[in-house]
Amino acid sequence: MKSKKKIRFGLRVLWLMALLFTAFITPNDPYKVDVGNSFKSPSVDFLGGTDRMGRCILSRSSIGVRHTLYHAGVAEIIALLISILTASVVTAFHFKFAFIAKMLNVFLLSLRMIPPFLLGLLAAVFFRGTDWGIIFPLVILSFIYSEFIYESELKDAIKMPQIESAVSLGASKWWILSRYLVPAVFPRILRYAVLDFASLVAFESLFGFVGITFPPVPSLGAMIYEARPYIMDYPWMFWIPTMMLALILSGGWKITIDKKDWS
Amino acid sequence: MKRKILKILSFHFIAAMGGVFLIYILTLGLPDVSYRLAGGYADSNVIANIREELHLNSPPATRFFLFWKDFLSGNLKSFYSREPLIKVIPEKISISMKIFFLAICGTIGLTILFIFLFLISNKSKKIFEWMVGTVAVVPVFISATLLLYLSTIWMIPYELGAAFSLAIFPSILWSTNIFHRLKKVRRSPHTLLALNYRISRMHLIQRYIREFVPSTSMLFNAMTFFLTLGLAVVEGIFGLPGVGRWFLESMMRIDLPVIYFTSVFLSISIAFIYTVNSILLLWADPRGSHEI
Repeated sequence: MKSKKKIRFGLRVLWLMALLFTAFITPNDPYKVDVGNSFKSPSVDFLGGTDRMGRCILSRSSIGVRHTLYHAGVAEIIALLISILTASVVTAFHFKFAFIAKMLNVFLLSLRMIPPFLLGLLAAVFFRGTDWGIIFPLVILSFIYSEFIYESELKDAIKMPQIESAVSLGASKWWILSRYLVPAVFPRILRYAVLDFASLVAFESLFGFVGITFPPVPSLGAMIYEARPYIMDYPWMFWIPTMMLALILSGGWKITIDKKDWS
Repeated sequence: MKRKILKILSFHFIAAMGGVFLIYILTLGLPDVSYRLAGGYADSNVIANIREELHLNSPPATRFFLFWKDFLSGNLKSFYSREPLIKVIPEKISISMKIFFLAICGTIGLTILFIFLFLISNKSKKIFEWMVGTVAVVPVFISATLLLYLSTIWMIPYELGAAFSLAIFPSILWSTNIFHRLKKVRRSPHTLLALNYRISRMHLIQRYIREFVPSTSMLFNAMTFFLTLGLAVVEGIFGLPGVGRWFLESMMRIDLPVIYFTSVFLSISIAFIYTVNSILLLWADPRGSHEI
């Protein structure tokens, strides 16, 4: 059992190291256009080969990984804070002002009915050329899906018998919050946030794939889109960004299939 | 029960109306459509005509009603194809719905297959879990690109390829969930009691069905994923002229009427799916743990 745990821990460390390695390996200038070197297969000069403009695929993918992690990471942190705050307010209102809580829920459900691409387009228009054009729709997407979960977690936690007993015995709000509520809810929220981060990475690359991106900064999704016609003749153009994206996403999936999540 | 169903219906109806209204407000934030549609080099008369046709000179509240009036009377046209939306939308919907239903069937079929593979033996379960772990990290746009390639080589109809690429991820999640639920239900006290007191198999099966109903929300979530993102992506990759691809193309060229009405169609469909899901959950747990 212990050796299994060690193997699992070792694999996670290996995954993290591989991720950091891919994010910081830029052997060539990712923006340098050199048409004379277009469609070069992987070699010592270009470890990941080149694209049709002669740019190094590995360096561009590496920059893409960095941007994807940055966009998804910032969006996740902001969305986590907003979601926890909103979920706390809605849970508080649920007991005192039920009508306001219901209206908030209706509003959130209405937000979930808006196609994410529309949000992406609007953000791209408003925050033209800045990272916020990608981060903003990711924050909204994460918020509208995670708020419901945090809210139900909080509502379930409040109904716990130990909290009810503490309330009836006259414990202070701070005591209940620090001793019961936060320890009960925080690990679950954190686990969900890691999963959500993986889905934000997928969304970010999807936005890049459909064209919601800001060139010349490379995006993994946009690179995969560009590589589609060359998938047979120049497979490295497609497979290197794909493998890097899969490497990021595999971290989240490992937690999804963890049996503890289903208990 | 009836009261709760009415509550669910009204809640989702209000949310759908809110969605329709919010989408309209968001479309107001798009850049001036008339310049975009005119192509950037048009004279002031062309731009004035476009503004008139789209009621861009009217206040936003009036424009909302005029938009709907034009749509229902068949006067509202796509700015690129110049075809009335009321005529084009049903054609596009039929193509998308075909892919949508194929994807649902694919999800159910793959889920059954995966559960079967989970149950064969411990060894097959481990191999399958490893395979699932590998496949699940591939986003839909990558699996769809690869399936497009395979569909072309193996002469598989593109609709099937598109539906299959949509079905992979939801079926993996759903089968994993059902498998773990199955393990839990088998060991749950009510199952053990029922077996101990030799309660009829029919009652036991009924109990099992109720236990598994909450996991169907995964299928409903998959449906909303198909509508909000999946259809647009796979239709774009496979070149199928459905609502999703139409929406994505119109978005890139800011064809306002198409953006608005396809978004409205998608949001109303999502509201319908949420409503059915909530009613199903209420049936599974009448005590109202899923109460709104």
